[in-house]
Amino acid sequence: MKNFTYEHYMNLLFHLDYCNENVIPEISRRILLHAISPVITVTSTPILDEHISETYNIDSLYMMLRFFGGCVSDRDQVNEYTNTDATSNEENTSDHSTIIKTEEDSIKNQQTNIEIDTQKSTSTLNVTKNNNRRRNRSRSNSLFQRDATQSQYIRFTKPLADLLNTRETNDMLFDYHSLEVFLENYLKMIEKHTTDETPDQLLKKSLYHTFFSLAISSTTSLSPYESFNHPIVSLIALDISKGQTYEDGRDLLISFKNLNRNIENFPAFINTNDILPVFLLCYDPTSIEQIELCSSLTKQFKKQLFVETITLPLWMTQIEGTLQVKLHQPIMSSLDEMIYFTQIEEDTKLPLKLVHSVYDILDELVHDLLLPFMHRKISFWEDSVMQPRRSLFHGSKWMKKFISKNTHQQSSTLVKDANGNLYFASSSTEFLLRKLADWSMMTSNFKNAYTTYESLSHELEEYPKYMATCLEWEAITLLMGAQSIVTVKMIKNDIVPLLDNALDTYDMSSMRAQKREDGSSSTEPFRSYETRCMILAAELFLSLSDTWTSTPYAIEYLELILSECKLGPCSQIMIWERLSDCYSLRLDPRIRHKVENDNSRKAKLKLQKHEIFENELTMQPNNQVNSTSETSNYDLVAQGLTRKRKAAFFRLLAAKKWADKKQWRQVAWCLNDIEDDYNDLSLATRKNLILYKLRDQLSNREKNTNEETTH
Amino acid sequence: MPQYFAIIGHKDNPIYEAEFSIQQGNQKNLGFSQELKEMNPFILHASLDIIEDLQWQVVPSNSQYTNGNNSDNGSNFSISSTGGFLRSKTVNNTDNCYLGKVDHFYGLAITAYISYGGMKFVMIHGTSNSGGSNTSASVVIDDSACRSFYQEIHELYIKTLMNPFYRAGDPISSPVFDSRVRSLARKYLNK
Amino acid sequence: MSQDIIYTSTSDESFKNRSTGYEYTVGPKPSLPDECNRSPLTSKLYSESLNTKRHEVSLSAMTFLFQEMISSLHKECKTVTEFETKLSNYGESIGSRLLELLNFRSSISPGSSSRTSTFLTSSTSVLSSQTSAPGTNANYTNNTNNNNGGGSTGNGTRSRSNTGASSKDYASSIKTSNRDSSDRHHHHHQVESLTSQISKMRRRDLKILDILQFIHGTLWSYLFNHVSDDLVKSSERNNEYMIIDNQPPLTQFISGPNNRISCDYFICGIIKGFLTNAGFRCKVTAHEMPQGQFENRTVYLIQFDNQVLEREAIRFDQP
Repeated sequence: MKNFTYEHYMNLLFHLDYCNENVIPEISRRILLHAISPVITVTSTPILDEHISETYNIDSLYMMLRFFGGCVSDRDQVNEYTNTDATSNEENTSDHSTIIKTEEDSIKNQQTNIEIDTQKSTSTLNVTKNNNRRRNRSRSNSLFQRDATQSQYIRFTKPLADLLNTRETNDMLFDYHSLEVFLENYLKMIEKHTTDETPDQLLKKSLYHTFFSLAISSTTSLSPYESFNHPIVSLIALDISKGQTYEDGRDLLISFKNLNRNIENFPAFINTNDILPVFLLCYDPTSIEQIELCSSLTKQFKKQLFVETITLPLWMTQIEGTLQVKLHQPIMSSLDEMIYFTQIEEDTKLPLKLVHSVYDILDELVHDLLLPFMHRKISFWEDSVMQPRRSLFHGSKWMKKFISKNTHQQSSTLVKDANGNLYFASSSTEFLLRKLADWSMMTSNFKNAYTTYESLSHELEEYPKYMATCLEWEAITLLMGAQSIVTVKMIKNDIVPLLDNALDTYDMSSMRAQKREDGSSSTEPFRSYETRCMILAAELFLSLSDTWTSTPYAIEYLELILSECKLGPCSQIMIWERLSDCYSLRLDPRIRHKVENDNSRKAKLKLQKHEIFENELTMQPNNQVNSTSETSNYDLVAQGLTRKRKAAFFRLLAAKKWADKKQWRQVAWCLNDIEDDYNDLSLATRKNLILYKLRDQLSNREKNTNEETTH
Repeated sequence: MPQYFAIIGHKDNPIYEAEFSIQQGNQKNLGFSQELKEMNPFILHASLDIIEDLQWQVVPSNSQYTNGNNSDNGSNFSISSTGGFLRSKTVNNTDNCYLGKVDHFYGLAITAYISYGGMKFVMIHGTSNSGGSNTSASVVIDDSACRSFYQEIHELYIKTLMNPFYRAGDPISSPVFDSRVRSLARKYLNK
Repeated sequence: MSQDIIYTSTSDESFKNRSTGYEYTVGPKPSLPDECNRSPLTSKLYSESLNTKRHEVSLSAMTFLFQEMISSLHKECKTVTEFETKLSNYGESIGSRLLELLNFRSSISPGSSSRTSTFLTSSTSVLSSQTSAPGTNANYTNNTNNNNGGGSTGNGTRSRSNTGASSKDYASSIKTSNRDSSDRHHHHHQVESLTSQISKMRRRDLKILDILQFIHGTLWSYLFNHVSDDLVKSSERNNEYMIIDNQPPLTQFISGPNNRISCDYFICGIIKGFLTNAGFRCKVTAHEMPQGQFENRTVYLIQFDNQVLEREAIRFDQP
């Protein structure tokens, strides 16, 4: 059996054969880690982009690389291909890649150790191979077998200049309307690819998590209050095969470094010095000339510009019969891109060999450049910003207040932008601390992140906007911490007060904004943060192991979203369905195994009954004993320790709302899900009640659509 | 204030249902909206989980409403362990048939009562302007009137049960029962 | 349903008006505008108080009826087990009714009929009920004790020793109702609804021991006019309890120990119906265990479903 991976789950619509799998409860932590993972900007030249579009029919280098976001070591774009014809192809590729890798190795060796450049022995080859093996194959990519914190995710985005030019001035995290448009498109795709009988339970969860991931992350919006979406690496790409040279690279780097001067209203909270520039050289591996050029350029960039370089054998000559890999959409992408791709739905294909090569260089990028850079920065900020405060104050509040007041009076750290908004500058201690915390979070160091958020929150009392998101993430670090640590007491005493405080502070700042400008639009950005906060907290509560204790909180936040946030109708129904999921997760831990056993037994009984029913067509009916014994096995212990009926009711409500939106596939699935819950009740057959009416509408819809298709 | 009342049997089957809408002076009937009429039995069915939870608690109190805290902490049912003597006294003094307000759904309040034989008497209390709109103001329950109403119904139910020709768990189709229940509703709930 | 010759719940005189009752296929009926102006329907079933009657059924009449039940089952059943199960089913429907009735009756404030005692019983303690109603017989007081839940085992056994000497007299008549002294007051001014006399409903029994004591005390007194002779917990299996009757009155004329025990399944059914409907799923069997002078001494063995024990552990064990 093939592994059921994270990517399979998030793109389940395109892997319908996995519909009967189960998903782990901690999935939301993984999604969150992915959603806040380091962002890499891809800057290319028109020459390179044109070359790519000619060769691979992809618009640009960014459009190509964005498919490779996610957990690089998972290599999820090639999952289907390595597993299916593992033997034949593996050999094939490795045969070819030895050539490529020798070249690569030579380049790499030259980078790191110029002295040994004469020796290109098989031994060094083996070392790198093992190196790759360590990263790629030592772990299974199965969804069940790995802790979320073990994988490093990345995301790709457009060049910083593009991001800044398209940046909305209202600091929205995400746009409710776009989210709704995306959902509608996605639902249309679902309608197209499935039937009413498709097993829907996992698919619906997958749909919700897709929705969830879009609500909590963005690769295009740069928030002034948090640094999660701020780029960390800037890839600057050159096409060697088209004769681009050192000068081209240098110019690109200079214009990147000077962005803050050349772009009007360059945001004060972005610092290009905190972004690691990396050159990417695209070459043809069959040309010795180009290979040598790459290695010399690498040295030059390193020596003269102090910038590292990675090389990608992008221009492989098309070998006959090379396996083409059909790429799937990346899981985390900007909303606009997602909407665009739901509309065109066209396949992108790349040769398997190339896909592997890209993953190889990304591995290098992440593990040899990105992560060391982040760790360096983190420890630098620790030493230069965090430590002095700690040793100075020794936890004395009085001193802290005294000194922090003094520093606030300087207020040089606050910068006013063209729209009159006050932001902390990227060099201010407050923002550096925030970055320290965010980056710790990105590298799964939750403990460090927590202490930093915690100490930062004491200094932001006068800046509610900053305060709110700081409190929010302080709570989230607690929820993300090892599962066993989160206790009922902790939820009650720490997490929930923090979250409520965060929400109140968001509320306060949106009210302030309204007062100042008395325009309603200015309150919305904080609404989007508030929505994010609640939807995220709800989901993380659901990932805890004691769902009996945690689900009420999730339910509370989701209901708050429904009553306070301006979500579009489809988005709202998603929340309604999630409420139903919450209630079905509400299960006392002491009876969990029993209920689960009971469920599987019931499923078995149902299957048997089905068989008996089929047999009955040929044999005489002798089924009465069976049916009576089944009705009496309702579980006494579980009485009141589950919320199954509530779950069914919320599913029913969702069905009604889907019906209002004419989303008949969703209606059918909801009704399928609750069939067993209501079947034995007279409520199901009463003509004047909602359930019967919905079923009626659904069957009429089928008639109508049938008529439409026949005419 | 319209009400939807039902007696729910052991298999979640309603054995009696009624809707009460009270005339107020010359006003026309203020009943449930059509939308709610279609959903009431399901709203009520959904709260049976909580009712069963309370059914087995020593002091059936839904913390959701007593503390104003939405935690609905059902794992709280083990009562404080101190003082066996005093404790048993307080425990014995609380009524565990009438459960009071057990649940809510967008402005509707749900009260419940459990008979000795485990029959669930449940009622949805609507607001006078309940058009299904998200009125945040929830219905205020007059507990003592409500409790008396339920007790009287309980008595009527036992009388029904005393009829040897009535089989427990069957729908109660007696018109006398129906008219009695309605007059009790007028007596206790028309306020 | 073609077999609806007798409408199950409308055997009273007003069944002709059936159309105005509840119909489960349709759902709830809304209130009618002229509802309150209509003359209320009446029926004997609903007009009479649950508490006022005191009909004793003569043992011989009951025995004839019982004999008919047994012989018709005899013809019908092929095995002893089948016979016992069916007889037990008869009992169950009685047990489930008694569960509601007896608990409800126990809720009525003991002296609510007279002014002075109403005043005194506002505190509903054991002591006050004894002093305010000195005329009540020992058995009745004893029931009240059980109902209030305080130390009922002790009282139960004491009462048994009081009545022990005359147990044969009690056994000679089976009563369907045993409310006597305090109920007599009600006969004069029949109150249709008892709710006004209830200050507080008796608590539903949540624990095994509580409900077994109610059976041992109140149910037994109602059926046989005395509490059961013993209530024992099995020392071997913790889901087993025994209720012991030294001289089961209903089956006393049946000869042959095996036959008699099979017929005792009627009582097993009553116990089972009582317990199961209260949420304590169980199996009840009858066993003969002669002891000394009591040759017909019968043990009703109650085996609770494991889930009942688990629930008790989850719900009531201190963590």
